[in-house]
Amino acid sequence: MRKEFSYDPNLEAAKGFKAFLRQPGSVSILIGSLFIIVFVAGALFGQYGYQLGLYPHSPTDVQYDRFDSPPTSSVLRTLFDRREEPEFDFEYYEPIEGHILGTDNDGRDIFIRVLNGASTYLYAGIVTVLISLLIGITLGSLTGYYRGKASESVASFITNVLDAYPRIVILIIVAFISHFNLYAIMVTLGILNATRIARIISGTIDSLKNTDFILAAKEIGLSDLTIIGKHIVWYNCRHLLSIQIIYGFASVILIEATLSYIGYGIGDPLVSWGRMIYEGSGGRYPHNFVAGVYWQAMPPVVAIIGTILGLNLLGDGLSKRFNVKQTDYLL
Amino acid sequence: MKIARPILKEILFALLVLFGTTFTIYLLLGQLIYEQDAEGVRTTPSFVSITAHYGEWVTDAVLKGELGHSQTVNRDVSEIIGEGFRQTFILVIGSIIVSILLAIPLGVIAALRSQTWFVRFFIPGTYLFSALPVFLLAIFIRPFWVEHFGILDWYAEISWFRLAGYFGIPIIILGIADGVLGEMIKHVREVVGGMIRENYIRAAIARGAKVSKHIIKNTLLPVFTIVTSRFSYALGGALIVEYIFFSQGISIVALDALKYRDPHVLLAIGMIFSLLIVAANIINRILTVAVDPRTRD
Repeated sequence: MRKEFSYDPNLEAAKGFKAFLRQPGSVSILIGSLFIIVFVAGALFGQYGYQLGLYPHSPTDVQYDRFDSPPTSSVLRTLFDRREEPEFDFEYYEPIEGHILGTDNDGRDIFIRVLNGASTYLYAGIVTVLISLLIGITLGSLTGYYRGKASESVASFITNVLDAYPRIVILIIVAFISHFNLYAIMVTLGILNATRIARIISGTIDSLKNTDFILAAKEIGLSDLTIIGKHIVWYNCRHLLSIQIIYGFASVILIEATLSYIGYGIGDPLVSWGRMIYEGSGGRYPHNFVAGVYWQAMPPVVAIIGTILGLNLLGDGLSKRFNVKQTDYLL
Repeated sequence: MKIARPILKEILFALLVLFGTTFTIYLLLGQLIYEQDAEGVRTTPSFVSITAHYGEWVTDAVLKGELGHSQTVNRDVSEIIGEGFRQTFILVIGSIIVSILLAIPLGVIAALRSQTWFVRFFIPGTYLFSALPVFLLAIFIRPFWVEHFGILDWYAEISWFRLAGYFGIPIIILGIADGVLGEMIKHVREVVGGMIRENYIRAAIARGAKVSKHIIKNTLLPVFTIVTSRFSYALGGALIVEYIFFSQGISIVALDALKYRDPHVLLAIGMIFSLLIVAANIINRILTVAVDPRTRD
């Protein structure tokens, strides 16, 4: 029998976890937030685990006597260690105790490096999202609220110019000019991500501009800043913006990983998953994969897939929960 | 004739946008090159001199159709780019066709059979799969592709099967990854899901008429909207796919130009990409205006 979703009058009255579960998209939100909690906890551990003495290896510690050592767990070795058996007993063929996921070809511990990469992305994602929110809300309210004035045409010109860039080309150029500085990449990406937010804000303002409550707010003399900031952005756009924040965060991870993979990402003391995949697989010709060395590239791959899965589940769940359609933010 | 004015307005605005993008890229690229004064001291060029150079470049590009000269390779930029661009064009167009061909059936199935296990698990899986970056899929498929389709040996016999795989696998990867496919499926699902509740479709189904034609016709416009609005993603993905799979092409040209500080090549590539994106936006606007008269102001 088909289950139809119907409005339940008791839903509003019911409180607690059960009521949350009965709302649409709640399962996706739960699983997604679980992934994100793991991501954040991992990021904190990766950043402070070595300093607090919780883990014996540092993410940047190069140890030339223990390079290319496979994971200690036998399950992981059967999965990711596909090298042929050597004719002689090489010392470095055997795993070294203490390196859970093995080491890379500079002898750095992969487990702590993957977690430290999460902290890089957490930091970069938060800053990028804040920049894109600031610029997007400003541009969007200028286009939407002051339609027909000079500021509208300037703001919509800026939005259109930002939208017409081939993103990856601009990011590669910026990364090269700034000597692969994380902050330059974050600011550029934040500016480029701002257009979607600007379109959402201006679209919402367009649909709300002539409603009674906005006209009344104008009539009693509220300032434009209060009307835009409180009554439009906070009360009427925050559900749309929350989804955009999540997808913006995902785009940071995806684009930074891609940039790092082609060699134009962030520099060496910071850990990047894309760089780890590049070095672990062997580059354009993945000789590590051909030789059977999978444990160096697979942990960051799994980390990227897990994070993207979590963020997408959360975004999908939130858009179901708030009944946001794709058409709402695709203009 | 009511459509002509908004279209003209759009085209003028698009030209302005093109100036904006190229000028910003020029400003950025100004940091790559040095100017030497009479005493031989090297400095990065000032804003004024960059603007002057940009003016020269634009007049050359508009009046003579010349995109500049590459000093490192000693060839015209348009020559260098023309060679590389054919492949990128095949990749982009092919990937768009692949994603449309995948998205419409999957979206329609997802809307019509929303309670089945296939739709409940396979379609969210597709969203995830398509959200992954291009390079993540490409690095696992490339060894297989090199072994079976890679044209490494120049004396090898090139069969149609081999050629199809040589371009087909990168095209399919580009069509699936980078999030465009997932967005398209979601969009088609919404449109079709809204449509089958309409009275005229229900009446047609009740009479036993074929509705598939109407459904597919109505999904084409939203799919085209996504294609045009995410065109820049497809171009960026094409660069990455080219970098991973092929030994020549526009991405190799661009990265080499960056390495050897050759700004005119990069500027031309950025300009062509912006031109394509802006043109896609104009086509999208024209189609929307032609179909929906409410958007004509």
